[in-house]
Amino acid sequence: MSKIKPYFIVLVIILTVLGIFYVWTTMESIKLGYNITKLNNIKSKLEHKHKELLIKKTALSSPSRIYGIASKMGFIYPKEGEIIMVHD
Amino acid sequence: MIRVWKTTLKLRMLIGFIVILIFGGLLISKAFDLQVIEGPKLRALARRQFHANVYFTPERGNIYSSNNSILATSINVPGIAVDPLMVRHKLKNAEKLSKITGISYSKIIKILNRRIQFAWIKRRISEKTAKGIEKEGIEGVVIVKQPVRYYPNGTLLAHVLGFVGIDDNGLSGIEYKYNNFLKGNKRALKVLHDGLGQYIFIRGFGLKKATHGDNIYLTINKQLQFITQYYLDKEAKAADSKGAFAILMDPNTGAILAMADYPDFNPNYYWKYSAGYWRNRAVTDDFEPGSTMKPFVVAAALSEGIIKPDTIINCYHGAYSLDGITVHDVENWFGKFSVNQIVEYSSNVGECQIGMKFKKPQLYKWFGLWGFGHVPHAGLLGEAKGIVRPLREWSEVGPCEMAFGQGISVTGLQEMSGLSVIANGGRMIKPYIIKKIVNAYGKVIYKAKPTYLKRIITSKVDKEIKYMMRLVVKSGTGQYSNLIDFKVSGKTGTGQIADPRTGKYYKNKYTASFMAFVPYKHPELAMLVVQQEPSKIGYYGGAVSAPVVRSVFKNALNILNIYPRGNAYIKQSKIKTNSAESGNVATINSIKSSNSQTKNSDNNPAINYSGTMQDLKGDTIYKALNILKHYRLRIKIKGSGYLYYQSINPGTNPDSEKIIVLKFKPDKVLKKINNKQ
Repeated sequence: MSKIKPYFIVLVIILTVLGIFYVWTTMESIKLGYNITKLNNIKSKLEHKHKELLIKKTALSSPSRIYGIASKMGFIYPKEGEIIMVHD
Repeated sequence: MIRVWKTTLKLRMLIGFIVILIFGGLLISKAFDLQVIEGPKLRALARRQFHANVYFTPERGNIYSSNNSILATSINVPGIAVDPLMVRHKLKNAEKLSKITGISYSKIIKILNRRIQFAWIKRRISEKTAKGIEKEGIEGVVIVKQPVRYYPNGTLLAHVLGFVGIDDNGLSGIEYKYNNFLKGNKRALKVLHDGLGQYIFIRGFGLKKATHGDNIYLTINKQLQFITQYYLDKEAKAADSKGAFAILMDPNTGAILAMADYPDFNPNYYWKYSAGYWRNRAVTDDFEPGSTMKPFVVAAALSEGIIKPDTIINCYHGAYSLDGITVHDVENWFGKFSVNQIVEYSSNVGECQIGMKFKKPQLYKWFGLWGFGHVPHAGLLGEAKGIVRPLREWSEVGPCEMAFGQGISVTGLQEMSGLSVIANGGRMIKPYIIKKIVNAYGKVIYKAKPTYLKRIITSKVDKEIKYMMRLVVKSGTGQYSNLIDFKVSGKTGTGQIADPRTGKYYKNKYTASFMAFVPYKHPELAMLVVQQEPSKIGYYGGAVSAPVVRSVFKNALNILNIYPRGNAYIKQSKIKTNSAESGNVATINSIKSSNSQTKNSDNNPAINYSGTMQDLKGDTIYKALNILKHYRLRIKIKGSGYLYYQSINPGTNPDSEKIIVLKFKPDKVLKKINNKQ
């Protein structure tokens, strides 16, 4: 009986450590899960913002808008012969 | 005493054992009940409480121009939804909602009084309105964001792009034809959530989201599209046309660079326009082409050896009768014309006689070879095949009429295919508008390549017909399309419109068209403009449609960096403008000219300019460049203002030099020199 007792204590300690380790990993996993959710939300928001800016840029650079602004400022397409070719 | 204690101990142990047995039994039976009998039900209940299905709505793919600019995309727009059963103080809340949204009180109260759990109050609202609603915090009223299709360039390419309905399904154009690619797949993701409803992504629960729609890249060049649309709109309004369309194509690859329709519509508000506005006339409408058919018939006749360019045909002063019909020309001075002149001045009488030289099956075969009567399959919605009547229905004078574009119907896209054959040296090429399709993960799932179908005409015939079309622009009916710097070749067309009820031609309804390519010998661009029923300016293709082609060509060549060099041209791949050193140093380089192109230049004095260097002192940059453009020199400019230094001295021969450095500065003395010049 006295020979078995130390093994029993070691076994209990191992089981306890394993139990604690299991609980710790589960908790960490849940914590990571929350983090992933949080990061996913940030990612979505940034993606959304990026897209919004891209669309805004496209709308602002639409040819009809640029043409309208350029016309108001007095810009016109160069007439024939007004483009001078320089070459190597 | 000891015996009594032993007896009671045994009794106590027995009682204890029985108690443990009873409780143990109860625990085991309860565990059995929970795990086995009630187990599945309870497990399902737990799943419902801690697991959730998150639905990821796929984003509809974007549509891009060839230069990767967004033409169509989806944005999430807020809308107001309500669970009427949850809303309390309905009268008061309806008033609040009405005030914020601008929707009538009676309409809102009607929605709030419905016995349902979900209803839309308004689908598309501004962010400002959405914030106002959220601020009020009315129980049962929520802001729901839904994807809405957005076309950032407004009317640009509207007829080709089409539009998307409220359920995110394409209803017209590319949006409809490629809906399966663009739409993507909805996918549900299982996640755990806590008591607060927050999602927890842990192992065992996949992170696979929805498959977003594929992105479609078109061959359309946004800038070319704009100028095509702009000039078409301008001229169609000036001519008061009922409708009009234009196609701009690269005749060497078949890529459609621009496709415009008049009148246009804004796909962001497609419901505000009647269905007639949505039609892409360039592919759906067939029409009697009139004289634009002539080059195709003449090329066929040249190929069959029926005629030669210098074959003389009597045009009978503009009136020719055969088999009960009389063919008229616009002018009555047309006498004995060569085939070149018949095309140049667009003689119907001459063309009729060329048509009559064909055997009927021979001409029918050629219409097929040019692609008339066949769907072009360019990847657009609603491509029509036109009408080429079966041989058995041809009258005796059928070849005569069809030779000048009557009794046969074609679509704009078909004419463009035919024109490309002439422009690219004789090869039939398939027009296309889809450049590539890329999936949500960036993988190219489709990439278009130019498809050469077969050679239709020999290069000899091609040169002959090109020359005839050059004459049309140079001195014939298409002079309004002439450019100073480039040689344009084309053909005008004025087709009569038939009354669908009587089959007879209207006396005052015409289709005015013009098709052309540029530069004449080695075309980079081909274009067709068709105006339907123009009522002002005139009704001839040369007067109404040719100016559109001219304006588009002039600007398109600039946009594509194709510049004139005498009778040849230079296709410039890149312009670099460096800002270096302390002053302004503008170095224009990387200008490449293809040998084959420059070899084909006509005798142009500008190219072979030789002579001594001029004195440029006091000249402005513009003035100096205007002179130096005739020299084969690389130019470096420093500063701005008036020229005070040139690295090649006046009076010397610049032939051995490769580069000239010009220095400018703002200077009153130099200005005076400039003014004296």
